[in-house]
Amino acid sequence: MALKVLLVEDDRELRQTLRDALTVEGYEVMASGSVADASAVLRHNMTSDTPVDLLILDLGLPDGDGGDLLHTVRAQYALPALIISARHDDANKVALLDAGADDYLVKPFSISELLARMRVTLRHRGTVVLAPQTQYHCGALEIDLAKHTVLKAGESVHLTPTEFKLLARLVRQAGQVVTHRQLLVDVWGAEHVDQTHYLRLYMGQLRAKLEANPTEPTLLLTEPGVGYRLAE
Amino acid sequence: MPLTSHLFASRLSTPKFEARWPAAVVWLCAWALLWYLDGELNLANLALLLVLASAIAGVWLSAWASVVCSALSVLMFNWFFVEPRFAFSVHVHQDLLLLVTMMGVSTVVSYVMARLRWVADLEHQHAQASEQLRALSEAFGETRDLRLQGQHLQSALAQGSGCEVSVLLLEDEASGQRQASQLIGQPQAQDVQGLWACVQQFGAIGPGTGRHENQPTLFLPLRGRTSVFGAAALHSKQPKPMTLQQRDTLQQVCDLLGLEIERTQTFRLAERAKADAQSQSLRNTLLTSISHDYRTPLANLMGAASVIHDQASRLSTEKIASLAQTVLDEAQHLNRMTTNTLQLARLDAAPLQIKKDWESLQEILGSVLANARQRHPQRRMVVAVPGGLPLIHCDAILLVQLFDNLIENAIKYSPANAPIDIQVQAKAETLEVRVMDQGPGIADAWKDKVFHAFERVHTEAAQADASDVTQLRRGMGVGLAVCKAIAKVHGAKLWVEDRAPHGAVMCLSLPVDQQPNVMVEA
Repeated sequence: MALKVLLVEDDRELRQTLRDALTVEGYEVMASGSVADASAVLRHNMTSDTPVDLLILDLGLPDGDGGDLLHTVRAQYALPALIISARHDDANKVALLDAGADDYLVKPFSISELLARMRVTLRHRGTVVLAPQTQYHCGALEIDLAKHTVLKAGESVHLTPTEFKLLARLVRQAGQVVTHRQLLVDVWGAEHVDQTHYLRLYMGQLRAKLEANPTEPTLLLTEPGVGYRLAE
Repeated sequence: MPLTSHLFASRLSTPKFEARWPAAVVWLCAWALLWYLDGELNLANLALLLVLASAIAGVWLSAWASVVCSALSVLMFNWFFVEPRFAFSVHVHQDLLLLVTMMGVSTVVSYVMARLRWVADLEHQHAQASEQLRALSEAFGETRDLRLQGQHLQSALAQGSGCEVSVLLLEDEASGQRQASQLIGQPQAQDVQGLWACVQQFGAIGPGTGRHENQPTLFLPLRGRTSVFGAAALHSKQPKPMTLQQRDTLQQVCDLLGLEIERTQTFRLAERAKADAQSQSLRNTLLTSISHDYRTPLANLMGAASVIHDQASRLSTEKIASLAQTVLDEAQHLNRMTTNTLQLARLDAAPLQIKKDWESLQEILGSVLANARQRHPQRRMVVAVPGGLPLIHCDAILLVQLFDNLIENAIKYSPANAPIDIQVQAKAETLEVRVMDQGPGIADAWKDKVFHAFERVHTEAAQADASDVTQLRRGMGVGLAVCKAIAKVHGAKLWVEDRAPHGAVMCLSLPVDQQPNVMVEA
């Protein structure tokens, strides 16, 4: 059965384009242009037999902020959300990621980027309830969190406890961006939330151990101003 | 702030009592000498001694005192020395001549001396007065606070005149609200009216001014060169009217503040005009950008899209794909220009509102390179970044934009088969990033200008080839201008160097701050 997507975007042209493109890809798309309309659709749909599987949310909506809608959604449903924003909402975007949005895309974006992000987000759907991802395999790197092993081209790599915790946090959300704040809180603790320099140094060390070329990483990717993403 | 009554002291000068004792000494000596020489010299010579003493004593005495002393001396001389002694029988001809001579000489001397003293005194007072005006003007200049300046004026006037003083100050005229005003002191209702009348009539009102002579309060305007900026009311406690000089001096003090306020206002207006001009020039720059730089990619976009729209059925699949690629490329180009233009406007409007954090230069360059390689998969980029670089305190998004523009320019302005080199070097207290291409380079005359929005480089080589010119025209202006603006808000330096044998090197020197403490585990 087709996956159901609710697309909330106020620009009619973009909404139509995305709707067509997603339909071609086999998604069942419901489109909405305002917070009020989207809330109504969700109320109606989430209790039905075929609830919405993914929310794609634009931030600037005519009757309110997309962020408010996200908070409502987060409070009521286990529905993954993908933010699409114009560049000037940078700070807002990070705040929403911290508040529980699954990923983001900056406008303008290509349809292939959107599809890739949607796939990752849908795969992580329900990570809160279900067991999170504990195994990761990409390129020469193999990670098994349960067994506490990190192999690079078959060779075991020694990581310090903090390095391992940091890597593990990224593995659990592989393919998705994890914000600086989320990483600092989960790895170092809430009191270290402003100490981004810890993150920089440990990411540097991890890259030195795991990447072939630490300057141009292929696995531990940087999202400037937002956070990090483990490639898939 | 001391403003003593010197300013207002009477300028009529008489020597003080303390200053007269040398005259007494001179006279005493003269008399002693007369007694001593009595009998040795004849009467005529003794009389000359008396004339001498009278002349010298005149130096310290006023004209009247000199005359009196001289007359007294002549009488005493007659009594003690002229035969018959101890009697006032006078040889009229001789003694009268002596008397007249002595009086004449001593009067002239005293008068000349008094005149000299008066001039010197006046000069001294002038010097003192201007020194005090200068001090007052300095006190006015020290603060931009109108109220504080008004209080200075109030105390200076009160000290100088012994009157009860209140001051009316008009707020910035440029704000268009002439009604806005401040009152300092506690004027009576009619004094407030007087203050306003004084401002409106541009002149002094009250006793001695020729206007409303009969009322007790003197109103003085605070005059600037072109306008009046307030007024002061001097409510006199004594009935004695002020002298013209006193009023002049007080008016000078008032004008001092008037000029100061005018100066401040002129300065503020100039600042505002400068800011307006700057934002005007940015607006023009943006308009130029939109009218020219945006139309070209938009035209390409529209052309390609309309061909797909109108002729799709008659085109090959490859042709359609190529047109679609044009649409994508142009859209990306427009996106980059928009981002740059908006960033330039943002940095220009609020250069201090950037969000700095500890960032790794390696990471920033890594993400820029990842994007650049995605856009230009065929292009070779040779990157040399040493490990263990210090962290930099910066806005990551801005630096990404900066490097992205530098690399994009290097790619655009050099042959497609020539690699781009990106190197990082750690220097003392800075990190230096160099983006090097093998294009035609940038002529010396343009090395500064390339960073100014919308100026483009036209090299002779490029002009030979029309398509290269088109390339050159595209996007360079805003791109490097925004790089410069980003470097500036980070206290970094950005400049161009030549590369041998040919090519340009864009150099960025980033300051390295004191590193934060991190406990590193083994």
